[in-house]
Amino acid sequence: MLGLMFAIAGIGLQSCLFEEDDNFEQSAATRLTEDVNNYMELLQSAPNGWLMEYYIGPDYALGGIPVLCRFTKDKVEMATTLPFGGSVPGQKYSSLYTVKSEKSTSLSFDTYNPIIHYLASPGIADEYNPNATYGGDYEFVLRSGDKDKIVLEGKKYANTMVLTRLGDDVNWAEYIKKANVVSEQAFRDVYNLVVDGKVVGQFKRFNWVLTYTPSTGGESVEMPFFYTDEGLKLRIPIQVDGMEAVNFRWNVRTMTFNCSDAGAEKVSIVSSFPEDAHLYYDFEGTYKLTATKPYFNWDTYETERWDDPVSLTVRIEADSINYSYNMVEVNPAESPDDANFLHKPIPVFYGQEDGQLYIMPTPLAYDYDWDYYPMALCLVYPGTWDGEYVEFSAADIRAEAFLKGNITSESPFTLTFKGMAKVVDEYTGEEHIVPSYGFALMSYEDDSYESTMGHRRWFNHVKLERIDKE
Amino acid sequence: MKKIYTALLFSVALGLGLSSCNEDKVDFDHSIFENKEAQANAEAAKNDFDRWLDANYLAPYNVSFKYRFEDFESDITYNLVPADFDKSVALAKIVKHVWIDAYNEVAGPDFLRTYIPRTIHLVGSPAYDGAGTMVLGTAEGGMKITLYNVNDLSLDHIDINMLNTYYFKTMHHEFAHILHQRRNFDQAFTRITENGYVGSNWYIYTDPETGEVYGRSDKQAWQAGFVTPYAMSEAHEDFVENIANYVTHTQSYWDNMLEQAGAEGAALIQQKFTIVYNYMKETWGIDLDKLREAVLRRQTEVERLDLTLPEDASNETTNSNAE
Repeated sequence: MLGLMFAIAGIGLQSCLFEEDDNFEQSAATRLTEDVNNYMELLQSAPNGWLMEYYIGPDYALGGIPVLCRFTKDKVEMATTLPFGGSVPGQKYSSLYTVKSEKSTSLSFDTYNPIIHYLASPGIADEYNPNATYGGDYEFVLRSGDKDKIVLEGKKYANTMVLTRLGDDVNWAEYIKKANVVSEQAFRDVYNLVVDGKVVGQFKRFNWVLTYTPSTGGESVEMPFFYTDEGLKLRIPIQVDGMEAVNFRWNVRTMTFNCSDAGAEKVSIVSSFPEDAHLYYDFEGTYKLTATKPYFNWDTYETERWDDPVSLTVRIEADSINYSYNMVEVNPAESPDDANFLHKPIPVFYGQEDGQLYIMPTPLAYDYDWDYYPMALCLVYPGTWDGEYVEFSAADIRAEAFLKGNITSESPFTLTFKGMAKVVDEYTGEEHIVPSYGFALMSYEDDSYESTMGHRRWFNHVKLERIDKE
Repeated sequence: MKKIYTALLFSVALGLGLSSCNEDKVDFDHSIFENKEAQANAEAAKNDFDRWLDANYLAPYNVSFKYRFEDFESDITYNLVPADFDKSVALAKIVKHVWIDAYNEVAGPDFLRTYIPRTIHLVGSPAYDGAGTMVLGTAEGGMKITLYNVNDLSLDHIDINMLNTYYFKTMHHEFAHILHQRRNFDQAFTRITENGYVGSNWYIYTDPETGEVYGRSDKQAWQAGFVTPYAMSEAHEDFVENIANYVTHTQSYWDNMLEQAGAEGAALIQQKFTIVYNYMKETWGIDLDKLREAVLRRQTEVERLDLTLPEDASNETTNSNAE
């Protein structure tokens, strides 16, 4: 009887389970290998490589940087905008990579490459916690991929990073250089969101994250971005008035990022300045320079007057954008008096904090055709015992001093230069803060600028009046 | 008859029960254990360094020299980065010349073949633990040695002292653990400085008079009868520190240590070292003096070694992807 029970049980328990159709035609192992091979092929299929939107820190905390990468059979070449542990921005660094099948198909940069490993290195980010890093990832899950776009997810910080196929005509070094120019020129950390000429909100920038606060109030939103060769790209689109804006083109003349996405061209991110600030390019133009200079009587060997008038036409020309200009004389040959002309371009600086012009002590470019001795620009300040007489010392070139171009009239646009200098008394060693109204071109014995030989040109009470515009 | 009938029925049922409707054959071609395509890919993906490692580490010693970072080989509590390729090449050659070949020279090749850890894993960065201490190397159960901070190696100027501090002392140290775990040493050793072992406080020195706490210096350890502060943690560490420090230092270093240790400290160190020396000689047939001579000579030879791959190695491999 027991046997019969077994028999019945045996018949009852047998199964034809294996007749079920396979869900997949091929085994799991084969499919995984295929996935690896497909991604390898895809990565290598871009002859000029990919633009990787590399986001840093937990939850995109530091924002992003562009990393260009090109995959060959066993190597990857990378370049980026920042110097990482001595790497040169824009230069290509090569290392190995692996696409492998783990819990999912993943991409690992598994030998050292400063471009992708520096931000993940311990011992750099925090001196009190050497195990800390800046939050860079170098191992990724391959989420999806097609001909033009591969989506990665960082294994440690889970940031999504997109690889976009680079056109064959993109020059890597140019791309990186341009992205760095944008980053340098867009120096403000406060911006307005402007839609169709109307301010609708404000951004504060920290690293590569814009924190947006709508003008109407409401919660702030963090918007990670990275600088591109044209401007910037937000990680996720900003939505305003039914428009979606992601890509922005930089215009340094207006200090504005203008949206370049179809349908959202009216959206701009505009640098925000203090109220009386002017943009760098506002100062470019032609001016009448008026000043006073000492009059030396060669018969009596005395300085007779300190207020001999000087007048010349100068042009303020852009030099290092958002940083400095050159002030050059327009027609030096036509200057009425040999003592008047500027002799060489005078560096003028743009104050990024307040949007004003400054003149500061600076060594000048050395030119053997004109000068037998090195020259520098020093500031003029009243002397201690004889009216406006001042004895320049070698220290004046290194003095903490400035002349600020105060805007005394908007029409005609007029700048009146005033400032201060920290002067050290040669005998007592005491420091005095004294007012300053002008500048002088000084000659020095040699280019160590240790010993002065006196002034060559002297411009006190300097005023610039714009003459090329309405 | 009934019994036979029952038995017959049982066997028929059993037969039916165990039969299966699956007509699929076992798919040997696509086994996860022997995935031919993946293997072919892996073989094709090998570069010249991989082939050099196959010939110099894998084939002779069955050692997997992992210069490519693998997170499952690493301790995930540390933030680490991979080793630089060129520096890995240099270190692989240095380790072979100064460590592997030194043992071969003194003990013959079979010795290392039997006892060498099967994995050497390189990591580019240091590993910093919670206290901010830099971990230089670790060994796990005699199976794996991890060498950290490889990217700090300067290829223009190979600094033997740095190599000793970071790598060779660690490797000799960990390898000596493997040896004594196989055949233990004379327990008389543990009794010589029985009261000197301080466990995990080995790096802390407390001034007996003022009670102030300092980092323990080498000299303080020497005077207490130990070759390094770390040797004070416990007897097994003490034992292997003797070997690691003896073979990586010159006789004059050793003599200076004994002199600085004072009469009492020197006597203790010498007593212990005699046991260490005899253990290595009698148990493993290794004369530590000869091993030291080989290690030190080979260290000086490093600067004459070619630490690069052959010229064509830096080019991209030309193997086609086997389909």
